[in-house]
Amino acid sequence: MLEAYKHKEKLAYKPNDCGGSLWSDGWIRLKKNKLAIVSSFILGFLCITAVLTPIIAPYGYEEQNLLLGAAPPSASHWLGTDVFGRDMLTRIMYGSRVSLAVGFIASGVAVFIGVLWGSLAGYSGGRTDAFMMRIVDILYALPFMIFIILLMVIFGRNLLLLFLAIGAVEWLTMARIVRGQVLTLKQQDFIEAAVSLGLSNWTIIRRHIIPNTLSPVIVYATLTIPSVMLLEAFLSFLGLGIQPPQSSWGLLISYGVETMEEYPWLIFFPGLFLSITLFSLNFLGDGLRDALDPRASKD
Amino acid sequence: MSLLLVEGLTVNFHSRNGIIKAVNNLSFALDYGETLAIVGESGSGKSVASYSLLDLIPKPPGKIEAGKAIFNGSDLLTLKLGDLQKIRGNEIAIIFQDPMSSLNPYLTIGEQLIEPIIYHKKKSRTEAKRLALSILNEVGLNGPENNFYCFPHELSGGMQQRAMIAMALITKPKLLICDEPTTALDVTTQAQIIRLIQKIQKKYKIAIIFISHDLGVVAGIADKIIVMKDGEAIETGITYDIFYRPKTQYTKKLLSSIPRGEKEKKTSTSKEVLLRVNNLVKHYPVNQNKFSWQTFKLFNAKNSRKKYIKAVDGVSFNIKRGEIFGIVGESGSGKSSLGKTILQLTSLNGGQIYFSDKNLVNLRSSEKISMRKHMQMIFQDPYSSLNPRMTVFDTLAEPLLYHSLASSSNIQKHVFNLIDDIGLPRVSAKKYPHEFSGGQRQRIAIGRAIATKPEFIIADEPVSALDVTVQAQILELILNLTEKHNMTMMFISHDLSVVRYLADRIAVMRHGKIVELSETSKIFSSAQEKYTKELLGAIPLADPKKEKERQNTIMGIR
Repeated sequence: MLEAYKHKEKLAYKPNDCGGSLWSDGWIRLKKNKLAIVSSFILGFLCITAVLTPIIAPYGYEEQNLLLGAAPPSASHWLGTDVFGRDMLTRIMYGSRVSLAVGFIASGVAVFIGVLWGSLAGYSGGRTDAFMMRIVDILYALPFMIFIILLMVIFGRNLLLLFLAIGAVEWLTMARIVRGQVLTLKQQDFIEAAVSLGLSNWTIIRRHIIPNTLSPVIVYATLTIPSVMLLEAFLSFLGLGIQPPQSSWGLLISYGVETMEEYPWLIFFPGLFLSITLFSLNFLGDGLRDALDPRASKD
Repeated sequence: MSLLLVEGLTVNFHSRNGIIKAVNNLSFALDYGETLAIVGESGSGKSVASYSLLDLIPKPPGKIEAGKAIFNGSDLLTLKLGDLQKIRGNEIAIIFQDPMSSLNPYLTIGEQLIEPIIYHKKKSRTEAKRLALSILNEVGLNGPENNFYCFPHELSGGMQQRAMIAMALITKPKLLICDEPTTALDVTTQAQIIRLIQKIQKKYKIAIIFISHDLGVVAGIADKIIVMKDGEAIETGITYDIFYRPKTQYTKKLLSSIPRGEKEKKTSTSKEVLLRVNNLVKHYPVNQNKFSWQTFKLFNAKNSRKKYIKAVDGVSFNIKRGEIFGIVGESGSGKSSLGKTILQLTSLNGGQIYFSDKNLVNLRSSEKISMRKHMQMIFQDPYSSLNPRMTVFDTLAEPLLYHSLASSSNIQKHVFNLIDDIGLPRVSAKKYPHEFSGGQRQRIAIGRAIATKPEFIIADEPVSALDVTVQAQILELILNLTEKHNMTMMFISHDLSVVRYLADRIAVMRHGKIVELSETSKIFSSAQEKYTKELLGAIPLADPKKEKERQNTIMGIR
């Protein structure tokens, strides 16, 4: 055991280097996690292709070839074509723009509001807490479909608004999770120590509370992203989200289900891309969680 | 033939980092009615040794590698699980350290008591209940009928431990393993529980293995002592030999780290009053369900009042500059609430606090923040007082940077000075709290408290979670630092011998009030109040002869 310890000492400590913060140490640890690194490369690749789609896509997303119809994968159409003869690869690439954007933006909104709201409520306690959480309860009680439909009716159909609306629904659970964490954290002496050091409330929340809620937040965020992607598909299916001929992964899958028996590639490839994304997200999320928890180091 | 004969017991823990020898080649013999104390610091293997007898260690990673444990003619280590279960709780019973977490909160005391009799002795429920009531009576749970239907949380810590003892005794075991049974308890309760264990031992001729980190506690109860360190039995012998003729260096060190006597008092304490507390009152509302029937009644009857616990009930005292002021009391006496109220960590219900002639009550929040620089706190539990996600460097740098006592260019120098001050290697800067032991963590917490060079520090039981030897080191550190930086300290503790060692004056607290306040030497030589005398009488003396004498006088009186 002593040997292992010495080895670690050598790795972790450089003379005159004592700055190490949670984030830089986390980055060092994350780099050691191969699975997480591969996952982040996959996600990065998907994001870059999504951004560059209009330039690199082999066909236009509306380009139909009715003569071809639904054709299986071939040299000219790598992932086949759908019933209108549209290239699947192109449609999946265009779909990734919507799906990834909704996944990341809506989850980002949810995490941001949820963590802030939950930690504020939990840390303030008392009446503020009760008031803030009752707002959460009331929003929970509203059927979110009605909420989103109302938003769409008032502000018109708008992709960005869709993202925000989904995020505005998803943050509720996050706020509850974070508040629960904060309530247990508040019992710990180091919060009281921070108060007695004279730190302001905001500094305490930012430096002592939020970093310690990261583990469940990251796990829940990686779970939120896929559920948000599927929610978008559901809304689009109802005609509230994006409209054909535009596409998203969720929409492609839901159309693919209808013709699953005749043309299996129409569901297989969008599903494959969605699964790869979700796997990568989960691995990256686990990696991040371990990397940001100093106690979880395995070496 | 002896009741229990352990030979060459070796237990290893197989972890990712290799094999840790928890117990190495331990041998001892124990007779009916005899008490063996196993003493050692945390991690010395004292608990593992006794738990492995009943196969209660986690396996894996634990593994009993070798040895024999002959109990009543059969080897415990080779028994099948079914046979072992007949011995567990039946012939060998265990009393754990923390009664609250060893009792099932969802079952009444009575229910938990009769369970082993029904299971082991195959008795009927009514007969089991009759037995349970008699044993509850014996362990001094007054009004056994009432306590029988009590849930664990309705009892105090001492009463819970009594219930645990009742539970251990109900099957009339031949061997009782007590794993630090009094560590979580107050001094006076500790004395009562130990007396109870002795009484029961005499009556039923039970053999006892008494595990403790505190040589002082075992002085009066043990016949034989094993001193353990790093899994090895360093020294084995009868109690008198261990105390009066210790052979090994380690035993001597253990004995010398028991705080005894008083430090050399400074002759020149200044007359200037640094902190003046005047008639301080702190009430906590009793936790009532907000939406209970009571709430509805309130609408009708406006005269019904909320209930309060008076944690601090009209306390006044002065602390002079440069002084170490001790506050002693049992749990629930309000000593911690007093500290937190003075530091304004909780609001107060009345009274004044003057710090250098400045009233701290009703300060504006900006003034409060600048006051905090001058008053700091050291917390009891070093495991929860450090942010697990901040490196030592960040923890120590935070107060300095926040109060602009250092800039980002010279912060490293400042932090390294602090780390040197608290006696840690500079390499520690980059590590996280979980990589340190309890004592080292407490050093870091002390470093954080003294970072802003405060004039006044409140130390709330800073050593009660630590081993004796570490305790001595930390006390030494606190003493040195208060002298070096010319700090004034309020030292809160339940342990009179620790306070005696440090403090210039002592205030004894009970039920939120100061019972007696005097110079340390006067408290110990001529205590005025009955309660103070009671507290003094309950301190375990790390001296078997004196302890025997005292026990005899106590027995004689009663």
